[in-house]
Amino acid sequence: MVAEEARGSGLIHVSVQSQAALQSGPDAAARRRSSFSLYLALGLLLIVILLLISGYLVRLDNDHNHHSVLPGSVPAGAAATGDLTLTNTGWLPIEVTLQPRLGDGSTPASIPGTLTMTIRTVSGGGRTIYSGPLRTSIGPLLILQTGEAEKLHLEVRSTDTSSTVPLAYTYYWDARPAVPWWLWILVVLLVALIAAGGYWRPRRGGSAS
Amino acid sequence: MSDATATQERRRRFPAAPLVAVNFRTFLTLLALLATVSLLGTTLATLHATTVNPGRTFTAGALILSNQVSNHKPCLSTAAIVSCDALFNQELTPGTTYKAVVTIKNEGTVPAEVLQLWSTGPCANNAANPTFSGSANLCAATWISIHDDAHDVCYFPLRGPGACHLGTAGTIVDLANRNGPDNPLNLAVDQLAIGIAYTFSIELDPAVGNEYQGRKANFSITWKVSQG
Repeated sequence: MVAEEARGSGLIHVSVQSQAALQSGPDAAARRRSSFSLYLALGLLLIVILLLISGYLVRLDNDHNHHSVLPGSVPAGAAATGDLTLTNTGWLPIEVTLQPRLGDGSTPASIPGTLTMTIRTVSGGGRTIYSGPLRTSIGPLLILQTGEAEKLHLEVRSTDTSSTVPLAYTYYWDARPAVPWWLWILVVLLVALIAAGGYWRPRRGGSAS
Repeated sequence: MSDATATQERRRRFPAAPLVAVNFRTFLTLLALLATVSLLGTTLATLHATTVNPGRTFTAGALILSNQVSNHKPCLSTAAIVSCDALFNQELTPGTTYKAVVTIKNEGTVPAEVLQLWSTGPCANNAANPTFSGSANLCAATWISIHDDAHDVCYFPLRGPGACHLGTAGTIVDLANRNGPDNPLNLAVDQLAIGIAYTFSIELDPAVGNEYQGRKANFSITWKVSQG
């Protein structure tokens, strides 16, 4: 039960609404709508949290995971090659970057300037997605849609013709979400819709007292 | 309609308490939506996954030969050639058998495939005390045998199962002549990982005369372990 007291010019007016009255009429409809919006927003938040902690949003797999692809050295003036297949096993599109690091995971202070790298896709006739010096971070190289796989051919060439160059690197393939910009519009629209649904109250048609 | 009546009508249409209640829900809704968008935006910006292809590096396995003479501290092959404890370092009495046990073990990380033993060079003999020493060749009068205790096999003077027999056919000179660096004794390796005990026995020929007294002999044995 809700009681409201209004005072003015000595007139005392008391309006009383029973619980039954609160559960019907425009106010009750607005309250139900705002409650529904609140639950919807909380549900959305819960879903987002669950999605984020599930680890399924961004996932990258490669068929040589934790196994070497390139040899440990490049002969003088020659090239070292290897193939691997990257697969997006997550729920979001991803962009892939290659980061050669040292065995302990640290970024090398420098990479011999005599080493160049070429990365080509194998399928679809093959196209070069990178060709240039071997750097500590290469890319983003490509975007993989959900479930998409791409076989890559790697080639590290040494322009040093005098001696073998060691290739003591661990190759980290880093995947980050590549969410299309229009998806954010959908998110904003959804949020705005839920917020409006909770805030909007219809004009009241009659008295309940 | 008077002002008071109009005010009352406004308060009736927009009751304070229910309005606050609805606004509180709306506030919570907006808060949840803001949290959702913030969480989604910031997490997606930092979210990433990584797969790794390690570099191909090689580490050479090691064969480390351990040579332990009569329970002394083991001598490890920390270099290509290392000198270990002496087998015999005493004065010999003719007719008395002296024994020394050498335990050979592979302490390395790769299995050994070949274990060889040979006499490093000819036995050298000289006078320990020139005033009282004879002039005979002590090496030629000292018998020697080499027995693999783990497999119970005799390698010298005669190769065969069972115990070794010291005798005139198996002197240190004979060992140097028959099993030098060019013709090493090939030993069993199947228990090298846990250690194989070899018993070296020597005996000065009981028939030797005074011409051998005060003589000193020096000879070396080389062990070699390898992978084929």
